[in-house]
Amino acid sequence: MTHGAREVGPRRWRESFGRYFEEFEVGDVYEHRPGRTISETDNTWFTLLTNNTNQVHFNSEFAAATEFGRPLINSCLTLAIMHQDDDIVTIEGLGSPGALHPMQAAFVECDGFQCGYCTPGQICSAVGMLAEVKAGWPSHATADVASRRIALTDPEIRERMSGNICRCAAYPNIVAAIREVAEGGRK
Amino acid sequence: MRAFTYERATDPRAAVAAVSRAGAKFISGGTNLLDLMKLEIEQPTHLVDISRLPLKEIEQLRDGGLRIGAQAANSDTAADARVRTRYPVLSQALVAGASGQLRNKASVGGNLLQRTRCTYFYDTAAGCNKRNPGSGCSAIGGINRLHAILGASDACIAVHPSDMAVAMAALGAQIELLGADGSTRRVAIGDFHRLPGDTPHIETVLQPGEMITGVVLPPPPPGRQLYRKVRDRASYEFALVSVAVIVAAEKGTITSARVAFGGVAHKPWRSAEAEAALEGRPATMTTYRAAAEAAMKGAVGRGHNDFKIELAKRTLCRTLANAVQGG
Repeated sequence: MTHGAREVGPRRWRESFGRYFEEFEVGDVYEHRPGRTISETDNTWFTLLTNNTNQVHFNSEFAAATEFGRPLINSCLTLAIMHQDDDIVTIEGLGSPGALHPMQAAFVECDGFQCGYCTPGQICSAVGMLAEVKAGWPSHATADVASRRIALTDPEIRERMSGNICRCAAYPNIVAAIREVAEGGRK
Repeated sequence: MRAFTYERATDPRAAVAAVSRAGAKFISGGTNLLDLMKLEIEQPTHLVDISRLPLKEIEQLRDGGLRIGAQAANSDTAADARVRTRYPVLSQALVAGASGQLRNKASVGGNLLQRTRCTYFYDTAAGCNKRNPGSGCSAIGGINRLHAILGASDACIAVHPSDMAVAMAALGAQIELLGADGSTRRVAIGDFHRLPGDTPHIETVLQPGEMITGVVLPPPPPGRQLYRKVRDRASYEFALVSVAVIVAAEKGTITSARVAFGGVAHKPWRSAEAEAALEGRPATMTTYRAAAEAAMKGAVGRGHNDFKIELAKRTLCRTLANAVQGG
């Protein structure tokens, strides 16, 4: 389900956030959403999907998989058990350090993030969203919902990415990264 | 979140049988229920997963209508070629709601049954007759900018949040139900959701254990279909006011009209008054305005949401004008 994962370090209280965080190193790939369990709802911390021992919750935010034949969904709003036997691709499965997915590489190139908190979700959503565009799915920004050819305008990208909020407001660079991938990437 | 047990239903009859135990609830997309469970507003002790039931099909009916399985995803419904071309107002309403990720998970049946986003319903420290019957309504006299202007009561002024259901109301959809005893029935969408009255915690006419199996759309009414949603931000936000119209005009005269509002009441609000004020009248702004006045005749503001009355009128006028001009 994931690769490039390693054991997490000790938890640390981060005063500025009022939250616990796991220690991690640049280049490690971590799940950014909490291992929210019944007793842990107040302590949000980074966790690894594979280390999540809770039986009920499924914690990979924005499991993107349209590219892999599965729809893009919010993992924070589904139960792991509802996805028994499903193929699930999370940010950890999309690429790995040294073998980045083109969308990951484009986010680095275009500086499509600042703090990085929302980035796994942004990247998964971007990948899933482009597949939906390719499939001709309409959006709220599509003038004629009956039209099967979707022009990937900036309003289309922004509308289709509106479920991913970036508190650092890296939106212009996120749009640029998505456009770069959609248009075939840098030569 | 409270602990619960889980089972996956294998067929619709097994599902309604399984949900008959005390504290049990269906889970489909879960996009609303799981949020409410995390906040302990919903506290089911047992979940019956109906998301894998064979109720995802969208099928053409012999009378020219369309049947949408209750487990069809919102996104699959919006992207269905028959919906896009023959029921575009439904496609438009669906893509105006939520986000792509949510639409991929949320089912058509679940969309109809989603709970209000009234902030006091979500705030477990506040009084809310819907969440805790008898505890009062904090929205009345509170911050009620997003609340109902039609059909509300002194017990509850919450609104139904769905966009999809507004389009379905305009289209005259029928909701197919499977009862706990295996019986089936159909309910018109206009009769499916209840007004709050003294029992705002009872939101639909669903009987205990009853499950939505599908939504039947009659053949599309004549005319151009258009959904318009007005909200505080451009995307990923609930409606302040939305309007679904289906309007046909010949030689400058309106020959048939369907009008439904969202964001204004405890249910998707079909306006027979507006429709009567449109049919047979000239397709002019004077007519649209008269229809808007008729639609909002009984509207009551609660302070912060007073603006919604005029907003609903203007939104209807603009949507009708666009629909007629575009057609």
